Order: sequence, then structure tokens, then C-alpha cells
Amino acid sequence: MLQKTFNNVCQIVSEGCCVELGNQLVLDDVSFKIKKGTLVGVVGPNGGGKTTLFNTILGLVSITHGSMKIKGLNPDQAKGMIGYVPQTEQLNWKFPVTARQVVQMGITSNTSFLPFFSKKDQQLIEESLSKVELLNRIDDRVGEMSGGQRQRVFLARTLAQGAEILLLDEAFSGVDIGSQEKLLDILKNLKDDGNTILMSTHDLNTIGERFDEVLCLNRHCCAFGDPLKVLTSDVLVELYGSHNSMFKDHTLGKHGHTYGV
Amino acid sequence: MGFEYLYEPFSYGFMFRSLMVAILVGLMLPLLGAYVINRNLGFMGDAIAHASLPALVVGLLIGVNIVIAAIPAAIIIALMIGYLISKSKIGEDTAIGIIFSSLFALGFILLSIFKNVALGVEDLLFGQILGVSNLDVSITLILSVIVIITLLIFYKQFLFVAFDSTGAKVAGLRVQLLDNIFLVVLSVAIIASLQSVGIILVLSMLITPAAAAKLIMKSFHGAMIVGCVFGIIASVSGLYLSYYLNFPSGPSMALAATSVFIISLVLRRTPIMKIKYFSNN
Repeated sequence: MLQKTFNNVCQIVSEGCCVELGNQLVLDDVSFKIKKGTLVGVVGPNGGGKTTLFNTILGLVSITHGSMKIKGLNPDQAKGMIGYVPQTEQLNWKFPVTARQVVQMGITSNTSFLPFFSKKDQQLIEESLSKVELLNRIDDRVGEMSGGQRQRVFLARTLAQGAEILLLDEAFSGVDIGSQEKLLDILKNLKDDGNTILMSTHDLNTIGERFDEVLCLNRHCCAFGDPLKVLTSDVLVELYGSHNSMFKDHTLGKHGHTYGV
Repeated sequence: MGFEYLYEPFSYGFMFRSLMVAILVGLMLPLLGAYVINRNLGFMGDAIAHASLPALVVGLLIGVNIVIAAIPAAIIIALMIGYLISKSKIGEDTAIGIIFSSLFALGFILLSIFKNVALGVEDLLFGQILGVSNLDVSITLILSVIVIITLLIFYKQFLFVAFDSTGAKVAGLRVQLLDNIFLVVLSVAIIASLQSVGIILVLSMLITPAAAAKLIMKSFHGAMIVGCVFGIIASVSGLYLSYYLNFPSGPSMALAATSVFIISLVLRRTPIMKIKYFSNN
């Protein structure tokens, strides 16, 4: 009974989830439960399945075994409930769209089949952009913006969409430290509003202070939980091999862990 | 003083018909071109035009209007190319290249077998707008209305898919279906324009006015609207050149479009770009 209630407050529940791409088992028996209102960092080596995990949650790839539930629904049925911020390299930045137009895309499927947006829609677009502090650049081309600003425009798109679960694919890559902090501040505000946020990242050094929970992924789920507790030496070896002496002086060490071989 | 050069040609019925078709083509192709240049689909547009040749020849052989004959064929070709792009293991450019060169070759083989086809090859390749009939005008009008209405209805969806197709999929849009609708509309527009610009130069009217507009406009819809204005200027100028100098209409329109593009390049360096709707980058 208690378990059932716990599942209800969980936004994303993965139980023994397996995904095959081609003949490769990319996700092997991945299980975790993510509560509403948490900021989760997803870490792991390249090819470890971070993007595949996101694609599974988004319903873009099918599950071979096990299950993935988003608010109790299968990923197929949950389409549109999840906001997605793609890796910046995936997009064509020469495309002449303004911040306003990118945010408009978030409400595209819900609006009528007309080329215009209503006053209410425009209001929603402006509100979303002001939440990410970019209202003053609403009519600027996104291609002319910095990496951090582009990420924030896409974040505004997920807000306009009304998504409560946000997935950010390596949103910090190619973004300078000041813009990273700004983005993080906005994410923390959104989290406090009750949004559940997953972000894949390669930056292990700051993960303890930035995220509530960490999901370590190398084909299978090596560890999941409070980053200060679960990122042990064994887990790091499992994730990245035995090169973990490079993490010797990393900030987690201050919390009573020992690293290095 | 000299203005009669502008309106005098249109006292002839055939010139008035040509003007109608020129305006429709100049309006329709750049609208699609806005998507084509931003999605790098230019080669695909070229391929659809070339690959329709056998259908045009067959249409002439059995005596139906060539546009009507080519449309089902172009739709099939467009969907086939779309399918290959999503499944291709040899690269999409390669897949498109193989299909379109094969069909273009087949078209010429058919032309050489059936020598009695009443058809100027040159008109087919380079366009002959001065020869359009009343039926041609009606067909072009109907087709452009269909194309423009479809583009209006799906404007938001097409924009989303063009900029971020994964994001569109995630948001629950039926991306594959939307892509297919776009390809069908693209092929219909290309076929409807073949008589004016010809198989080889349809690409020019598809991408050059749209590219010229992209150079100076900030937003996508701004570029679309200005692209149409540029397209109509190019096609109507091409028509004058065709009338007064007896040039084939396709090359005339293509060079007029290139001139518009050069003017855009120059405009980009002038203070006019500081006005709100223009691009300032």
C-alpha cells in the first residue's frame, strides 16, 4: 500500500527497463524512481545510454523488456507531457526563427490549424520567456544568441507546452560557467514550482552541489540517489573504468569519501 | 512616357494568360522555397522536377494535359524519395541521385522511341510560358490555391518540423505524415511550374527568391512574405524578357531571380537593415 502511494508521487518509474538498438542491448535492466520536484543529474560515459534513456522516456524508442511509466502512463501515451531540450548540436542555427517562434512551437500541437496565435497564446509565450529572463530578446533570432540563452529559449518552450517533466540533453556543453549558473538558478526555481527535471551532464565535479539526485548509467543503472552518498569509488570505476584517480581532489572528497587507487 | 512597354503586351490574350501563370508561380514556389532552403531540400526539388519527365512524355502520348499526367507521378516520386531518406543506408543524396537520373534518362529514351510526340524538348527543359492555354491557367490556379491553403493550414506544424523534428515528435506531432504532406505539396507546386520555368530551371525559382529574402529578413514568416514578392518580381520580369527579347521563359526568370538576389546582397550592407523587421546580423 505504502509502495503504491510512493509510486503515485513518482513522476518517472522505470522497472527493469531494457532497450535494444539494432542487436545491441543499450539499456540493461534499468530501474529507478524519480519523485516529483527533484533535479536529477544523469551521468555516465559516452555510449553509456544517457541519450537512449531520454529517448525511451520520450517514447522515441521501444522497450524490449520491463516498463517505463510516466505519471503512470506508457511513454507513447505521455507524449506532449514531457518537455525536451535537445542538444544544441542537433539543430540548424542558421534557421531564421526568433525566440518567440521557438516558444510558439511548444503550443503548436494544442492550438488550432491556423497560422496565427491568439492573444492568450501570445501572453503565455511572453510569460514563459520572462520566466527564463529573456523577454527583452523575444524578437531576436535564436541563432544569434549565446549557448546559454539558446538553452533558456528551449526551456521557455517546454514551459509554454505546460510540461511538468523536463529533459535536458547535455545542456551545459559549450556553455560558459556564468551562463551555467544562470541556467541552474532558473532550473532550481522551476523545480521549486513542482517540476521534475532530468539533465544529462559530464561535469562530475559540481554534481554534488547542483543536483538533488544522480543517476549513474553505463548500460545498466550503476547507482541512483543522493550524489554525495552514491558516487563512491566503486561506482566511478564501474562508470568510467579505473581512471578514477582523476577524481581524487574532487569536491565530493570533502564529504568524507576516499577516492583513488 | 514609355509605360506602354509595361502594359502594352497584356492587350494580347496569350500575354495575359502568361502573366497570370507567372504571378502564381512566383507566389507559390518561394513559399515552399522558404522551407526548402532551410531544410537543405534543394536537391530533392531538383530531383522531383527531373524525375517527372517520363510522366510528362506518357501524358503527351495519351493526350492528357501534361500537368495532370505528371502530378500523380510526382507525388509517387516524392513519397518514394521521402521513404528512402528515412530508410536509406547509402545516404539520402545518393538515393535521390539514383532515382532522379534514372527517371530522367527513361524520359529521354521514351522521347526517342515515340518520335511523333508533339513536343519541343527545349520547351520542356527550359519552359515556354508564352504558350500556356486557358486550361493551363485554370489548372495552375487550382493547384496554387491548393498549395497555398495547405501551407497556411500547416504553417505552424511545418515550421516546427523543419526547425526541430525530434522536438516535434516529442510534442506529439505526426512528423512522418507532415513530411509526406509537405513533399506532396512540393511536388504539386514544382509540376505546376514546369511550363513556365522548365525542368532544369525550376530550382532557381524555388530557392533563389527565398534565399534573397532570408538574407535580409529576420523572421521566417517575414522571409516567406518577402520571398513571394521577390518571386513575383522575378517571374514577371522574366515574362517581359521573354516577350520583348524572345528568350525562353525559364532562363529569363532564373536570371531575374539572380538579379534580385544580388540586390538583396547589396541591401544587406545598407542602413535599411536597422529597421525592426530586417535582419541585423
